[in-house]
Amino acid sequence: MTMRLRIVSVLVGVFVLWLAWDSFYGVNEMQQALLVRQGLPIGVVSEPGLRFKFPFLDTAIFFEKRVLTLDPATEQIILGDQKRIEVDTYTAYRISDPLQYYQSLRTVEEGRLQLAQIVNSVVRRELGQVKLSALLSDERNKITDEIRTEVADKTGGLGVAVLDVRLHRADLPEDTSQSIYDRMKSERQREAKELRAQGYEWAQEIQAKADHERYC
Amino acid sequence: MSEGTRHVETNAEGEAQPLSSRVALLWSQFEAKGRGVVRPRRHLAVLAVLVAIGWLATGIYRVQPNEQGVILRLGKWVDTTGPGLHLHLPFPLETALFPRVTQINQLSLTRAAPEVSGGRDQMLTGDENLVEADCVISWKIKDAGQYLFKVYDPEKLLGLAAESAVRDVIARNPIQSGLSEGRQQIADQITDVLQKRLDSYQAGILIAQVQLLRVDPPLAVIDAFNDVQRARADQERARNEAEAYRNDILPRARGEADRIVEEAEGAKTQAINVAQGEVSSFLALYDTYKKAPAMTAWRLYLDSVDEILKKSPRIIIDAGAKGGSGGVTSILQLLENKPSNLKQGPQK
Repeated sequence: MTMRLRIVSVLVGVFVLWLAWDSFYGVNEMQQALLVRQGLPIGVVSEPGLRFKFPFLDTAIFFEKRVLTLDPATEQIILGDQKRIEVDTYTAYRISDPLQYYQSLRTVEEGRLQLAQIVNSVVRRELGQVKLSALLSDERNKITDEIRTEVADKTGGLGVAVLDVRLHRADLPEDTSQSIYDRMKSERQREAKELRAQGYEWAQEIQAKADHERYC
Repeated sequence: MSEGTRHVETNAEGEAQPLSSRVALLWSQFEAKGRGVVRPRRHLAVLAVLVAIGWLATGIYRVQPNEQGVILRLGKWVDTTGPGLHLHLPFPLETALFPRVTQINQLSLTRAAPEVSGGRDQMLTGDENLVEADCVISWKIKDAGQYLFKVYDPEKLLGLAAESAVRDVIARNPIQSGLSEGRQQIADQITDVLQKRLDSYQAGILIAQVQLLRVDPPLAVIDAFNDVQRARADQERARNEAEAYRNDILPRARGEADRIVEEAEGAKTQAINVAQGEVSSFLALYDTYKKAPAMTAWRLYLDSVDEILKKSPRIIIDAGAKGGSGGVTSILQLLENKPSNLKQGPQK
């Protein structure tokens, strides 16, 4: 009897503890949480602190509140002037609306994948319209700004806020490097020849003037 | 358990006593009772006190001089403390993070394998050339809260943003400015661009310095670039040589010119003197002529004939002179005296 009572009380104690444990959840400074009651989203918590929820009924799903980066693999892209370049982008974004994010993307992995696809297609389209010379000038900022606004537009419904999309590499592929090398070489050769010839010209001019002065 | 705690309370009646003496008191009582029913309860009480002390001690933390203490209460950022020993509410109510705010960190943007050809980081410049650039970025935490809570993996983001900023700036400048005089300017631009970007992400990072260590053209074309430098030197050399030539001949020519002028002046004075001498001698002759015209005319005639005959190769012998053979001797003597005239003689 007492033995049984003891077992029951221990069980009840454990249950109560568990209940108490499950009624609270902590959100830290780096997180935000989506509260879901049996599949129905009922609230978003973005302020850190200890929160109450109904045990068993409610589930808290945590999302990152900090700025995340997306750094997909290098892509080859054909520019508006038919030049191929290798492009590396990075995207800085934040989960701005956990509910939308959860509804449209479910998991972080899925979210990254979707975002990477959007970024990729936007970058391809935008860079497909510009020339390499534009990319290598002050217009570069304008181009990246356009990419960013467009990515932000397209990701509006996904619950993410895109802070920035940048090209952190935009280089010619390895096999075209050789032709660039050749061109650089020929440019330098031209410059060297010109310098030497100009030196000769100056020398002749100075000598001729000197000779002229000498005999006149 | 509840009985044990009650025991603690009853035993710790002198609340003003320090904790250690209370523990000592407990211990002595425990020792004095020896074996008894109370013993496990006493044991539990001591344990509970020790655990409580241990729990409270989790709230003690020390902030090193190069750190800041960031205190989180149940995950919420509530306080930032400076260096020294501090106390926060015991774990898990409060926890502390210690970002190193004064430490200057270095981020080096260099490709891992420079020995592999083409493995170095090549970037396009504004005039569609390629350069290889090594760059070291010094940074520190500007805002501990932002650094910890606003960006996921701030160092990775810094790396990406830095690489992007370096390339953006290099891509806006021609290759020559990166290789020579514009290097510092480029580093400054990178600092600006990078700082602005990091601020827009609220990364809490301050860029202290950007150093461009090495900016070189790719290995494959470096010879051509060096040749340009040599050509520049050659150009200078050609000019210097020409100027040396000029500096050599011009003073000499000026000296020579001066000499010629001086000589001409001398000749001029001489010519004038000669002419004046002739004039005065002619005038003297004229005076004589006026006094004795016939005699002077005769003398002039003789002088002229004498002059003419001196130049003539012909030898005139006075046949009426005495000592005919003697005349021949004087001819021979004359011939000997004027050997140059002898050769012309027979021709005429």
